[in-house]
Amino acid sequence: MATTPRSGGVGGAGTATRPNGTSQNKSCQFKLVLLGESAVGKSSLVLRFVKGQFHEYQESTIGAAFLTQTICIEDTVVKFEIWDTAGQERYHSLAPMYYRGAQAAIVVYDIQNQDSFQRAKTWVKELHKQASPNIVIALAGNKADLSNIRVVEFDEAKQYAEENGLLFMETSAKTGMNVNDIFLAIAKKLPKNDGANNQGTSIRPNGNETNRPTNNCCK
Amino acid sequence: METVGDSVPNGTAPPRTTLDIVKERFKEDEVILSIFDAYQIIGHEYTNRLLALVSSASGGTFAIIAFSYLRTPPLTTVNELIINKVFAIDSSFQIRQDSMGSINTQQFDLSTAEDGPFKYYYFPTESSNYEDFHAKITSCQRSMAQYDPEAVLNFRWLNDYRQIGEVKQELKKRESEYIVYEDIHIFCATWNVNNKPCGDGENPLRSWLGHTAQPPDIYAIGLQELYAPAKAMAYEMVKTTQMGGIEKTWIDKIMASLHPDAKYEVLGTQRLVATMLTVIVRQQIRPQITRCRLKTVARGVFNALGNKGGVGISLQLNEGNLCFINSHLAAHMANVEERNADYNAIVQGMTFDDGRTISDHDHIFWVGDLNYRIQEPPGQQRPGPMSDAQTYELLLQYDQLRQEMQRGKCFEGYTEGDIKFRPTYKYDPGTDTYDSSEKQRAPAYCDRVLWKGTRIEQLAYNSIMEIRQSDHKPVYAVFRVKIKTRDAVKYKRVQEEVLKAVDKRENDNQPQINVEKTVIDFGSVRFNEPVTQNFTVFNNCPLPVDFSFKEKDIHAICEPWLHVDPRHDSLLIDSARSIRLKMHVSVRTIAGLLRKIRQSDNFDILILHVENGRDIFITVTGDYQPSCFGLSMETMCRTDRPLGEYTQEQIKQLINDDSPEYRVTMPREFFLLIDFLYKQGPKQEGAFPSYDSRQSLGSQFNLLRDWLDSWSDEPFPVNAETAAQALLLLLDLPEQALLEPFVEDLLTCSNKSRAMDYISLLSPPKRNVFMHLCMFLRAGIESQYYDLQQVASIFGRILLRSGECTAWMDYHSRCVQFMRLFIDNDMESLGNGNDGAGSGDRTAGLQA
Repeated sequence: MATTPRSGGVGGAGTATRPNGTSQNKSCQFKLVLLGESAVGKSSLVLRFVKGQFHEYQESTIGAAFLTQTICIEDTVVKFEIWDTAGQERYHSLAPMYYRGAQAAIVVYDIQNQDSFQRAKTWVKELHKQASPNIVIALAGNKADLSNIRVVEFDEAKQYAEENGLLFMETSAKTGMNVNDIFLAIAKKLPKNDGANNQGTSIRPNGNETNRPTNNCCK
Repeated sequence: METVGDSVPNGTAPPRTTLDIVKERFKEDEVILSIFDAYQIIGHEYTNRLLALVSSASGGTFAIIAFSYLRTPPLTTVNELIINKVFAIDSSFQIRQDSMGSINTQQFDLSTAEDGPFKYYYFPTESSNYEDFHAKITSCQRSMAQYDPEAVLNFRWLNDYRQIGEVKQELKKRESEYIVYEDIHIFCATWNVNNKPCGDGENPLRSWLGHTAQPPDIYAIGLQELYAPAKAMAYEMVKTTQMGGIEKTWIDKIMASLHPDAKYEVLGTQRLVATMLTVIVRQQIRPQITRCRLKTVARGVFNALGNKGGVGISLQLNEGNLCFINSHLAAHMANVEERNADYNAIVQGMTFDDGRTISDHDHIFWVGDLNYRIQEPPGQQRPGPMSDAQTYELLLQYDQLRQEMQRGKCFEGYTEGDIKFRPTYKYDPGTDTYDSSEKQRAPAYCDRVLWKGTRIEQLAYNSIMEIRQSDHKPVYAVFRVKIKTRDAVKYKRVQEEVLKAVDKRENDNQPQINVEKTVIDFGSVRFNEPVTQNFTVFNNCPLPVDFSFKEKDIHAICEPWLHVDPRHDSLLIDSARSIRLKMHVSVRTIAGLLRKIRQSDNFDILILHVENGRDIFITVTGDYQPSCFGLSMETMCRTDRPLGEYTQEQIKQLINDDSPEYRVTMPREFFLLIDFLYKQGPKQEGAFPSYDSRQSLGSQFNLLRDWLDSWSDEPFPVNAETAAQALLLLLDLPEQALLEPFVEDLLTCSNKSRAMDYISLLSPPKRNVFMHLCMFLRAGIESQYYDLQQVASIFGRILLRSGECTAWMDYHSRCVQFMRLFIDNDMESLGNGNDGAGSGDRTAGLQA
């Protein structure tokens, strides 16, 4: 039948190396939500980050798109579960379902659109009030490729971000400017020590606790 | 990587079984104990599932992995398998069979603490032997139960089969692209110290341990007979105190005697009574060691006391797994079988607590006093000090270890280097002279170093004659081992590529459905007229898709005036499903809908959720045709034209208007109903039979609704009973009870004048409606058209509707009591507050 003995002892040493046994591979998973007025470029940022693409005419998001993207920082693999939400005001009441439980949020505005910046501030306020208290929030001034016709000044947004403890970057989904960087900055700021990361505990065999011989294992 | 090509020239590949294919999905230290063909019923279809019962050596645990198929079985490549569910076989795991199965289909449930139960079906055939599958699971559960219940079971290996683990699997597959081999030097040593102290001086063992040209990276030093009191029973007593001290003295001396050109630290020391193994590593490689486990296997007296046996240390250096064993096997010339048995028992018992056995390592080094003797070649046993290689070769022909290895009785797969030194046993302590005592024990190669595994090269193998305190001579061997190591730069590059590819696959393979439209427009929606709309969802992605409407913050998938059918379903590839959406603005839901309309431009937004995929928002809109039903008296008093002529947007403004300006003293619609009923005289008898009459509103009701909402000049369209019903609804449907915000005060009023104080504080429309209603009821009671008690009860509960007070024990009687103050002619003691109500001309007295 479908059984094979576990340790047949045939043919040389076992080659059961497991790449995840080593300390290089801590991994974490985070939920990240994008918020902001409609047409500021939330989906485009995600598309640029996840697929490296840009569509001049990105369809309006009706719902919440879900994508994943994994990046490495130092020795940690960080997997983002990205929820790209619809920006239209009529869907506002559904937003809490998406930012609730999120560890990170990117609040996006369009540097050519003062209203979208004001709306971003409202989002930040709402997140501070209702989202998880440890949420890492980044403010993204998107469409930075059009900075010659900007209406939201960089310094103004930067100052606002500093006052409110936000990460801040001007981004361009079109050129890719700062897109990876903003996600990377978030990943760096997120705490990565929690979760079931296992390494380090079993490496001190001289300590009394871990030296305890175990009973015969099942075989 | 040493994979054997599985295609044979000329395309006649040997047929591969499903099991062979499934195996590829797992790692080398994971074994498939059983596979089982099952089904799940998705929608109305049977969907194939393949269940694999897997054991992991590294985790020491078991799990069931359920796969779905990308294509209809039979399986042709491993890529057609998609992990569907993972069940760890822990204490919460359950497999339960339903006894209700039919003759040809059987069913069972799998569940864990986190998940399930999930139903699986199967057709009992020869290939789906449930009893066998079940028995194997049970046996896994049983062996898990042998664990210390406090021990945390290691299911970390399963992470590789849950999302993030996919990356790791992929990385493992591409290992050859980033793995390099790094040379390290390992110094293995063994010495039976014969209960003797270590020796004096600063570094008494330097000639043994510290003489190599190059400093070793790892030392694995095995000692035997560290301390052996005559009575075995005493072992336990001396173990903790004296032995600890002896162990420490030895380790200190060892540390002092290591190669002087490098800095070392002890990685681990494991001792079984008098047999000790210590692994010492160069400080500079210490950070590359990511795992170290210790284990002992006791043999000796009763195979338990541990005067014989083995100790082992397992460690991982970079990507290489190393195992060191020091054993002291049964003594005496004749006990070859016992030695073999000890060896086998150590192999069997040496399972480290992460589940690894000795053979689960890349590089294994076995040292010890193995005690195998030289099977007397007469006259040859005592080679002189200057003997040459041929003498040793001759002796070794009679070496029991080599004989037993040749017979396959022990150390299978192990290698030993050429022995070019004198037998290491038995000397007169302090000399290089073989046993001169009466026993005249024959010299033997008791002390040995063997290895097994790949990329190991022995550089030296020798004994040290000048260390003389024991009756054994110390032995050592030096190895150069090529350790699997990740090239950091290459690894990072591969890792990034893999992450990208896995993300891409995950994102591209995300289940998706298309929705015919994301705005469902009901068009004109009227009170008491249910309407339905259908829309289609279809699956055009290459996977079956489960969808459901997500529960929202209101703890329902939609607002109460909507009904969705089905709420969830599964779509096979290329199939579609029509979703029926029904909207009913009913007595029950009108207040909520009007509230919604005030705040929003839609009736609701549904969240269509695709399992493991995106959410689609479906906006439900329409044009609510305003009606008087559900509106507050104040709102109705602000209208300047029939309600039927208002749009939804206009009515929204009207509802949100809270100025105290009113066009009429009381709502025209209310006035007309009262007027009609009043004029019916005796025909209205029994028109208010019971409160629940409002539950069924027939088509007659809608005629009246239209008549009221159009200010029709036509004759009153319905009978008294329907009019009475409409009157009750007109009063009952607004969000706020007519007598709010004074309901609680009024319920506790004892006399009419107190009550009147509150009534006079009501808004004029409410006050007028109330007074006019009371007058009308009083007249009807007086004429004996209505029963006082009944009417007081019905209207009391409507006018004094209240969330909080309803819970009072005497709420109902208080309602009746209050109503009686106003409608019971016998209780009429004060002048009635006729506030501009009257009858006669239909609209007279209505103008404000």
